[in-house]
Amino acid sequence: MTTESPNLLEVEGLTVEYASRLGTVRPLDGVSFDLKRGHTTCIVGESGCGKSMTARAILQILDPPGRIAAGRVLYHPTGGSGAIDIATLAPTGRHMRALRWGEIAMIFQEPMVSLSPVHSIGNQIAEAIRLHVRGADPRARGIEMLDRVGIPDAKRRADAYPFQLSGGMRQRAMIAMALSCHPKLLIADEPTTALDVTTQANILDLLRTLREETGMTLLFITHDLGVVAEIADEVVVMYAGHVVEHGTVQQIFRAPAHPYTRALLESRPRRRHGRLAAIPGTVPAPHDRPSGCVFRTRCGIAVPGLCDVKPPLPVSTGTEEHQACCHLAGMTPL
Amino acid sequence: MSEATLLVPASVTAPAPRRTELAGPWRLMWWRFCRHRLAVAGGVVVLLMYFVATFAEFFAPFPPNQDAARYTFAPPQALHLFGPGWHFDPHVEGFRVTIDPMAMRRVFRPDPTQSIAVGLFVHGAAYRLWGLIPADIHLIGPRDPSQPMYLLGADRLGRDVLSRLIYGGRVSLSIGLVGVTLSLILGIMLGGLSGLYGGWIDTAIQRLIEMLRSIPTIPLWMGLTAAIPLTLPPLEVYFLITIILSLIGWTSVARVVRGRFISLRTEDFIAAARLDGATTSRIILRHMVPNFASHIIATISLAIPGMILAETALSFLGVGLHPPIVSWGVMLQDAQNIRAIASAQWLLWPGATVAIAVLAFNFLGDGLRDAADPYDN
Amino acid sequence: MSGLNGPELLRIEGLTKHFPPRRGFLGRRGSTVRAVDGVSLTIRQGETLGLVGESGCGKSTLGRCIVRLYEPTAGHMSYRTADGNEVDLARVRGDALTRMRRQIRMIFQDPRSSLDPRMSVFSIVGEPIRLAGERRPRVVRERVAELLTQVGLREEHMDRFPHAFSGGERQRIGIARALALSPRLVVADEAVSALDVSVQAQILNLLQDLQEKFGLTYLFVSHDLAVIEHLSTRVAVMYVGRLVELAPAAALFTRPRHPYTEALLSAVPIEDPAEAGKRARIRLPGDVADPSAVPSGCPFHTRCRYARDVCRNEPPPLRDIGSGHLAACHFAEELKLEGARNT
Repeated sequence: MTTESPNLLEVEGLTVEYASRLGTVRPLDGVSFDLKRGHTTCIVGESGCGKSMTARAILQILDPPGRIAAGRVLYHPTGGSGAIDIATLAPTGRHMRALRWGEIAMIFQEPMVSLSPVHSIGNQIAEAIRLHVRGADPRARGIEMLDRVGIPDAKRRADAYPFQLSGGMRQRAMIAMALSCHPKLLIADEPTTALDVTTQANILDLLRTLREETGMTLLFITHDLGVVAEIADEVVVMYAGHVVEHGTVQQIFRAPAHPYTRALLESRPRRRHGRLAAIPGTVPAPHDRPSGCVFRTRCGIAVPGLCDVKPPLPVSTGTEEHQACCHLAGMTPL
Repeated sequence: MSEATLLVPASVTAPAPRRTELAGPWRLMWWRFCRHRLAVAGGVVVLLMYFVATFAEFFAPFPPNQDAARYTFAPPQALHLFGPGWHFDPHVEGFRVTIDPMAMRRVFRPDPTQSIAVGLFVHGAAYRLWGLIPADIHLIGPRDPSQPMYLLGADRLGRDVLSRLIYGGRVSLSIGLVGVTLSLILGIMLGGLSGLYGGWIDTAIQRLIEMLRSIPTIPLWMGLTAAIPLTLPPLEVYFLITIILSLIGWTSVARVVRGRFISLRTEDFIAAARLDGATTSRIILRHMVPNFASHIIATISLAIPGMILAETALSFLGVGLHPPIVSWGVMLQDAQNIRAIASAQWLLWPGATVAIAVLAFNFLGDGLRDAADPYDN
Repeated sequence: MSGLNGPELLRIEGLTKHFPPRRGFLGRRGSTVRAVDGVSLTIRQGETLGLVGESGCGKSTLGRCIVRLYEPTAGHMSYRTADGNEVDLARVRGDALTRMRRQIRMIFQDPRSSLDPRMSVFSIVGEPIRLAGERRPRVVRERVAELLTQVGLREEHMDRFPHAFSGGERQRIGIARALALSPRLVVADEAVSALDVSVQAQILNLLQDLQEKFGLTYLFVSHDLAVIEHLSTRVAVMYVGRLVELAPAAALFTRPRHPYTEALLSAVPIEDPAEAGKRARIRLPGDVADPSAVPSGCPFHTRCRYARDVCRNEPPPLRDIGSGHLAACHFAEELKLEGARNT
């Protein structure tokens, strides 16, 4: 009897690279984290950290010439029948296509760009259902989903085209499309970044409710720490293609162990006036990363001779689930 | 955590600047262009052609209209570099001419006993370079100018095809340039007005463009060139032809310029320039023009072959340039019959040169267009 | 810092900007977009007035009307110049407008499109200086070098081009350009919205330092409430082209007087997981109102949970509730609204 793994997805040492004129570029370098079944995990980081690319790598929809060069993406299907390494599947093969949307679905940042402008939203949802769910009436199911995500007058709205809907409505339609096949994992790539704050609040509530109702796992990618605090159970902090810290949301916010996480939290305006503790410098370009620890050029406590020599390995601080990739983690007082 | 620990001196973090960081946008465009092998090759071919066309009098062995009744449709003579005994003696073999009694035409066979010495930088027929500078040096030619040297054969009047090809290139290639310059001026003016002001000016100009483009070009050109009096001197005919060609050619330039103006109009840096106190003309000249100049360069390098083809087509049909002007199209008129293709294939050389020129321009234009995007890092 | 009690610098009265409907071939298509609809507010010297609202509220349009990138449809903007004269920015034209544009400058949102990619940094920052009449190249160069150092760049950056810089650095160049002629009022149109979080902090610090050093007055337009709260002395909230609330920052965030402000504050995610779960969020039905189809009466009444009949029929005027707190709500005094949580 195999017990179901507590993790739905385990990413181990995922590395994406491509060759360019400037040499081999690694937008993702040894990324490892786990997604607990039924939990919401947030990947947080700034531009160029590779969070979107991680999502695309999991679904094998990387833009060429990028390709997975190393690592495993272990998917543990519900029912405990063993793990599948997604990274070994052919991106356009039958298995991958069945996984995509059937088990793992994704919603994107710009619904105007990700929804087909020439098909009605009802049509687009019906197409997804037709491909993955047998014996269901695609149109009826589609209308049911639109209703579930809170689109008023779903029957009539199903025939609307994306340009006829507002930003919030389009994002809801996108969520309906993603959930129409009852996936086990929903990856949300900055779904609320382009929305107004009141609309964002509604979408976050919707996602939370749907997650509770269906028990699915949510991987939420964002750069907004407030959203992370609101929605996450676990947090993965990424910087320049590396995971620098991961832990529960309380651990990350209460006791951040990595200098980057600490600096990020300090640099947000928070009801205190006066200067913000800004991180000097800028994120290095993927082909221009420093040797050793990738954050050392902007880190206030970098130790020459240590931090510039070898890349840091994950170190547990406190509990097993809270780890930071820093040579000095656990040594500096927090 | 005290603030001091988060501060790192800038000199530690700033790496030495890359070459690309120091370069201006034109240099970046040049570097991007140079990476395109095919485009560079195209550019080299184009430059070579124009160079030869500029110094046509020097490069061509004979004047273009020098005829020789004895050598009509003479085949090309192979250039031998070494004489008997392997010493360097460039020469061509003369002809032994016989008359075929059945077909009533001359048959030329190379005669090894007649060796016509060929030299570089020989004295030949006198000419005035560009009509100004008198000289008589030719790059290559027979040491005795009265001897025949048909490296690419002769046409129906015994004129050297190679020389006519070079002189014809001057006309065909320059018509492209002159025509495109006119198109450019018209196109930028009207396209700029259209894009900058919008409204009814834009509507009027765009409808005009659409009307012009919807007329079939060859019949339109034929109609317009047929209106040129036959008695007009060649130079004036030449200019009238270029004007006629640019009457349609400006529309594509205008469209590109209008598109760029419209997209630039809403850019923040244009608004910033207005707030800085720049007048409208300064905004156009200093901010907008440099930002679409690269696109214009790419557009015209793709418009020039269109002009060349247009002139060739018109002259080939007999409604463009006509003798005594030599252009590739005029030369192709002689190749219009089955006899040419059957027995004097070298008359088709102008077709090859047109194709080479157009291909070279296309590769060049593609490379320029790919290099022109300013935001591609 | 003069802040709350400084003298008036700019008094805007009844500013209106309507965009006419597009003329289709067979008639009108769409209706008038009421981007800014009768906004009145005052900016005091030395303060930072935060202007906040969601998409379609007209905050960017208002900022652009002040610098006359858009021509106002109606209203006055009384600006007090350095020598004490009053100029109506809405009416001024020609040379006078050019002179005003030297005193009131703008920082743009998108670092990628706010700098001319074909011009060197020296040309970009030096352009306003040269257009103001300074022709001597050495003087311009010195001034540009001075400005670049003040915004945290180096002198040798002058000869480089925008593509060589990161987003934050380009924004610094934009700030240097805005300060080139020592302005008195700077309109920052979402100046940090397109930047990464870590870079935002750098630029916010820079803006604060420059304000202290040069006595600048800011109109800071943004949709990010945390940034607005950090930077502003007073905050103005706009909804669908109208001003719904205007108050000192602390008062607005702890005790708002307009239901929309309350909903806005409630919607902002809290960066504290312990607090995040506790508070009940106000859910606003529907979407943000459309400036081309403004509801009757109070424009917020369709989504307001306190709305009554009068809200549907009569637009509420912007009233002074007390201690400089203005709100456009019929029930501003009665409602007990919740502010953002306290830490």
